[in-house]
Amino acid sequence: MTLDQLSPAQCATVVEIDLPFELRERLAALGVKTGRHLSVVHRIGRHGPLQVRAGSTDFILRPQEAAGIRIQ
Amino acid sequence: MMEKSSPRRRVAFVGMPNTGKSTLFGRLTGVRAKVANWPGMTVDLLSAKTILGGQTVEMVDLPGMYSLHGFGEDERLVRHFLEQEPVSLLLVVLNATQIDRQLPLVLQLKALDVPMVVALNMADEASFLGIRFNCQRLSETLGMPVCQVSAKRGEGMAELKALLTQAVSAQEGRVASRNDALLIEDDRLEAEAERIVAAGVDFPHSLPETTTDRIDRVLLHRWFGLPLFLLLMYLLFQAVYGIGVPLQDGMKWLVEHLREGVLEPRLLDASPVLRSFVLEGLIDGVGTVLTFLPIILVFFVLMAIVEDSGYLARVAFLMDRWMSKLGLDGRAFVMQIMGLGCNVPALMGTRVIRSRSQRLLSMLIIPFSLCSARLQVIVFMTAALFPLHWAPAVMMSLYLVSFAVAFLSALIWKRRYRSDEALLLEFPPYRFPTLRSLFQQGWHSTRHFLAGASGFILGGVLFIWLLTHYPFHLPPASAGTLAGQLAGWLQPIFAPIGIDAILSVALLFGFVAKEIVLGGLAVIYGAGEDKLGEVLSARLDWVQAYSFMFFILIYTPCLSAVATIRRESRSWGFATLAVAWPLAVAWLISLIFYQTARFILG
Repeated sequence: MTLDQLSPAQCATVVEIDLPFELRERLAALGVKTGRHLSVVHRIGRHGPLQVRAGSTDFILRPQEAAGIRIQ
Repeated sequence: MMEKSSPRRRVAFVGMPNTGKSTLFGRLTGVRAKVANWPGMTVDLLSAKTILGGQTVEMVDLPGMYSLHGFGEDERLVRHFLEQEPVSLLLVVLNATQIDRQLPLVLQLKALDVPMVVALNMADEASFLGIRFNCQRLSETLGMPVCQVSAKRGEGMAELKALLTQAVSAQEGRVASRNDALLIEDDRLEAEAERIVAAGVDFPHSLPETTTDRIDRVLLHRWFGLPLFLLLMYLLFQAVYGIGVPLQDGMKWLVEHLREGVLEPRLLDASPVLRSFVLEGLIDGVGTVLTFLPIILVFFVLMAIVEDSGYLARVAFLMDRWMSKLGLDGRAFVMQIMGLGCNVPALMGTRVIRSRSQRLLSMLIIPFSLCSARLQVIVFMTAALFPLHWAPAVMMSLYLVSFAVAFLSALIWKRRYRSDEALLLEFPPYRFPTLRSLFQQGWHSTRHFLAGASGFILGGVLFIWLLTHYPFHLPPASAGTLAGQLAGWLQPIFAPIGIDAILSVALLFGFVAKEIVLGGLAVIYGAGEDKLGEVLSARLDWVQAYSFMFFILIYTPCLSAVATIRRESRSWGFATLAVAWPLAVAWLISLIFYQTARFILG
């Protein structure tokens, strides 16, 4: 499944990131890489942005980008 | 540009966004940059000279960057700087709580072969989270001095200064060349970083639930999040007026004293033109703007609390869904809110938006935000022309119209300023600013505002004085003066929206700064501010008044906003659009309103 399908308070591990290079770089700098644990902290509605936690870093992104992050 | 062989010493501050680089820079140099708990605040290079161990050292604050190999504008800027400018030492600032993901940047920088010192900033937050550092171990494994600091609280500064002094003087006269800098593949750096962190940092097994998490459970609530935000904004503006207006009265008193006690007696023998120039041009015009300084100062201090707290990132999160439909994202809404106080800092705040077209779209709609200067005119007219129990509804309708016009403009222009920038925004923890930083920041913003706007306001005010007073033998703003003639020509434009010639002269004042509109009306009607209400209600009916207020609300940003738009967009074409578009919209809305109302009311 992909990150946009993860419910709040659930944890998952990144399997693959299928996004443009620049975005992948920025995600990597925020600590999102293959093998890392992620969790969704908050989410506004079904189509709203997600607040994601990677280690001690929180960030927000939209579901369309989250759909490019495969997790398990 | 200095010679490569120059023995001058330069320390460059580098690090990821929102690690407190600018705060640390301020601590070490005494030079304040605007800081906020919002990533990407530093956009320009800021440099300052300071004394370290008896020698002059230049310190440069570089914009935050996530990776030396990244492709963002900030990354390019930093890379360009490091390639072109000689640097004797890099001070790498890390957010200590996030050392695990920030260390790879240190290793990337290490490959440049420039002497480095690492400052683990926000040490206070890290120790609160139970993260412990073995700085000596980290120094050994990294091969560079490492120390813990808290720039916000000023802790660890002496040790950091000692390390910097040592590192800089050890490099006497040496300037590194980095043209042969190699890009080492980042995966290897990652693995190395992990090893170093494991050896020198003690992370607690699981991070404790923080106060931030608890506050967010309320403020980011699915249903209550937005209403709570509106309530907080309402309280903020109440506070701006509650604290700012008494201070403003004090300022008015000072300006009046300057006029009546100091200048008027001294100008008794001066020529009438000089007298009018100083009193009605300089003092009435610039003085009116000055009386707004206290409100602006209070607003900036309160806004600094909001910015430092980290709440703006939450607002961006809450509003993103709606803003995405307008071709914008949550950050643009944050700027729209900042614009309610004054459009100028909001326009500068769009710097956090990377995509140029999205940034321009955001700058195009910010001037529709009903800023405090326009609010003053509107409050005055509402009080003068409408029954007391109507006033809140009238005010509310104008706020709604201002947001509706902003959002409709974004909808119309989003095709021209299309962008597919992904929203990826770091979410900082809540932080409480120190009292010291609050006042410094409020003062800094106000000074910056004055420096940017004063030339423009002074020039504009004097120009309008000339328009309304030349030829000098005629009564000010009468039909024969330049302004009167201009108003005559403008009459075909203003008559259909119910604004008569004499009122349109006041709109000329408003182009300089909306603060001057009231004063302008007072000059035109020859009535002091206290009598102006009666004069207005005798001359205007409510339909005309509404039409006039709609026009004031929407038409052209003030001169300082236009100057900011021009400077930030670096485009005269865009600045022209930012003036012409609101002007056209204002006229259309006033026209539709006025003609419809007249038709219905017969």
